[in-house]
Amino acid sequence: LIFRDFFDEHAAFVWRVVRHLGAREADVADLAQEVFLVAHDKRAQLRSLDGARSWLYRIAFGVVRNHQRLAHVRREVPTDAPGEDLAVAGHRDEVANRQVLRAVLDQLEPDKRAVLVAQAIEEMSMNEIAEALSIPVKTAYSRLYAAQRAAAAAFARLAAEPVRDGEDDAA
Amino acid sequence: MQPDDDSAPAKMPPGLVSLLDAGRRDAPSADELARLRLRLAPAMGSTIGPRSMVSLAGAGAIAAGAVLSVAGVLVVLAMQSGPLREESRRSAPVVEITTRPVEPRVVGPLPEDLSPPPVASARDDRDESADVEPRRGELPAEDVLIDRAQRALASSPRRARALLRRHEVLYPDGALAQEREALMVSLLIRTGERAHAARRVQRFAERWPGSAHLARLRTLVRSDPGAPPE
Repeated sequence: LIFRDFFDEHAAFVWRVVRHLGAREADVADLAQEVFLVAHDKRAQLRSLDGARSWLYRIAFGVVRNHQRLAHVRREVPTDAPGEDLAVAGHRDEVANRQVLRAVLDQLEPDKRAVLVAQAIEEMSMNEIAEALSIPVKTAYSRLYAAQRAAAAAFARLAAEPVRDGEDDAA
Repeated sequence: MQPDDDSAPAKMPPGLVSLLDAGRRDAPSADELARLRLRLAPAMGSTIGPRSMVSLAGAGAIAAGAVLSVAGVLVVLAMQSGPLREESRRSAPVVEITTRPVEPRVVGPLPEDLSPPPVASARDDRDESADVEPRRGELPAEDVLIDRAQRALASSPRRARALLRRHEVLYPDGALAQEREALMVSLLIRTGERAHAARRVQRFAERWPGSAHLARLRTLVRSDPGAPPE
């Protein structure tokens, strides 16, 4: 397969995964690029195109995790922090949904977040997820259930937050 | 109150399920995608997959003697515009072998037209999507992508899937979005991904409840839209 077609087939997937695994909006493009660069470097390791999504997911998870470990990333206050986003939680538009989803996912531990994103957003099978994250399937299920529980609790907390001044007007 | 037990699934509030569904529809814009393609352009002509081991040796030999084309130079310079440019240059040393000259452009801010030029690679004979490659500065037309996907459905599901995903990225809400989704459901049925197909039909019904495609798609999946994941 020509890499260009590989990119076309998986670009949106990588973009979404990088974003939902926790990359800041300003970093999504750079990290998606990095995922494809790593994939390009390691392309000889891809034995079957059927496993491409698991393989890319594994790379994306590593790229995002490594990026978040960088000292300057940890120190910076994200510009798209949940606090400022919740003012638009009542909107039904795409951006608002994305921001609220990010606020929920940000409450999860990275390992659990990775399983929930793969299962609930990317619709990967549990076998694919286990392969992507190099964990037993049973562990993947355990993390999924824990992530579901934590996400539900985070969503409930966000929903219970009082409406701030001006929010009604914003709608 | 649910027990704190990681051995059983938790009930997800409908609002959260909707958010996750919305996340699935998330996609880069055509501009964002074009920029990303441009930044990765040096790698685009490589091959990937089970046969790339063989091609790597050949590509290395070719690259050793290759001269950078004007397009290659432009692409490398374009990659320098991002904060990862150093890593990019190190990670993607592949030289695009062009078969025809590319007009030089002034390097600076990214041009308004961010669609990468259709660079012909040394392996274009294997490029299945070449017939939908646009002319320079143009995106492949919606109807061309859908038409090609439809024709590839029976003979090459992988190619059909690539074309449909390409349409989804370029034209997420295009005039042929329903046709794309209907074709994708047909494709998933053909490839045995019935549960995935059922979920697609469910989303289709939510998005286009009055669509003429809906009855046929529901017949096609012949299953409860809430079928368990594969």
